[in-house]
Amino acid sequence: MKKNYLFILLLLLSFNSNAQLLRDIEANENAKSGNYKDVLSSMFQLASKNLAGDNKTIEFNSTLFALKAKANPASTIRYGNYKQRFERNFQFNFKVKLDSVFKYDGFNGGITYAIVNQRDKHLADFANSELQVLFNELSDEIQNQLGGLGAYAMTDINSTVQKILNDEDPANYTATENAIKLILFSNLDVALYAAPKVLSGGVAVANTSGMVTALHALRLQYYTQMESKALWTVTADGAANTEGKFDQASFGTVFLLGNKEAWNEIDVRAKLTYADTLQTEHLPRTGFNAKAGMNFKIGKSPTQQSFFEIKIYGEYNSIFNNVMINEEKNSVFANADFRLRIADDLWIPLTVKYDTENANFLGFLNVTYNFGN
Amino acid sequence: MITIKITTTAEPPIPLKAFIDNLENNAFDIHFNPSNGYEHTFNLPDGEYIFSVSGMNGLTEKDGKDVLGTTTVYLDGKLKKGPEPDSPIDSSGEFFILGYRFKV
Repeated sequence: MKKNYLFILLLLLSFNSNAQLLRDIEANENAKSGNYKDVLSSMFQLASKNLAGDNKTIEFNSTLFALKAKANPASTIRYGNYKQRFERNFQFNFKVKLDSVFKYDGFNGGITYAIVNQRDKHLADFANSELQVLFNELSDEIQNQLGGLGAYAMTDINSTVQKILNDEDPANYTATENAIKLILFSNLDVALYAAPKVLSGGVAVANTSGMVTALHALRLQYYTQMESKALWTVTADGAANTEGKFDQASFGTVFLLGNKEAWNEIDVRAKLTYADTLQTEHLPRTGFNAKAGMNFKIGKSPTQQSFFEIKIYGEYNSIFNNVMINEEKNSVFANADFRLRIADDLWIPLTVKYDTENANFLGFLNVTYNFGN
Repeated sequence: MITIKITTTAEPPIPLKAFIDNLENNAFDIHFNPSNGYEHTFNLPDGEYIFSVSGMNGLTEKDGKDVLGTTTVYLDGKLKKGPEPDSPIDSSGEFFILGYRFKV
């Protein structure tokens, strides 16, 4: 047990060296649940699982995008995210397996791809929304009005329009910009808002200034709603023993969907595993594992980072062939994951399993660290 | 003949809209939706024009933070009046309209 504490301490000490990095992380990135980041990491994730058990693992997860961004930051700025959808949704992982006395026990490697990833704000798509309709209506009319501003330099017109659209403080306008703004607002109010425009939320917009405010409110609302959208991933991985001999392969899928306020999310997982137990010379078998439950975030607000999460879920296991004498062919567990955030991106998850057949409690202690996002 | 080029550093959440407005004759107006990395050459009749692009900047990552992307617009060609060569305009605001006035 002393070795376990020492191991946790070493992990924590190594994380403290990244304190500056943690401070730089934006609040909205931290608002993602630890449960979500365990499924698809934003940049890099280091995790140690089942620290107190017989089969421990040290895992490293990352995406192709994260590697590309670290290797050549300019590439992500210059070309944008158009060509990065695949890279951002493609995650790979490596695991080193350790036995009860922290002795090397083989390794594991796998890939995860997010077939549906509606939570990545860098891939936000608001096409055909009310936001697009209202913005296009306003911007089309401004573009029509530009030709009538021939008395002013295009640089002044451009700077004025940017300030109008981004709701800048009136004190930041120059005299020329104020003159242009006056003309534009006057023309736009007549062309678009002669009668108040009622938005889907029931808010009535009476003029151009009100519409700009409404557009910013809608934009914020849409980004906030992304926190709870769907994530669906598929995973394939394989493992080898200490001699490098392949002994396990699995195919799995995970689906997450939050409620409207993003306080909690439905979590459904399934996994099919082929493994050679090597208890005898060759004993291949196939098993199925399914989990379904709900993850709850606890914190000040769903849009801010949570400090505690609880996931309650049921688990079903079935071994299709070569069931061993001391094993059940089918088993059902009632589980709870307690996830405590001890730094911005450092989590300690504890899984408690209750064996419904044998009335036994089991516990698994993990450490998860997300960094570089 | 003019060449228009548009780049963005983050995926725009809504499609960009572009408008080449012939200030003398509406029959020569051109509306289109440019994609990221858009570059196209137009043969325009003689006259005075305003070219403008509108849209939203998406989010991207810079130094570990979420930041607004930047949209940059370039316009070049044999112009009787208009922007100096190699003088792009850009915006990193949530919403933007960027315009050029020129004469061919």
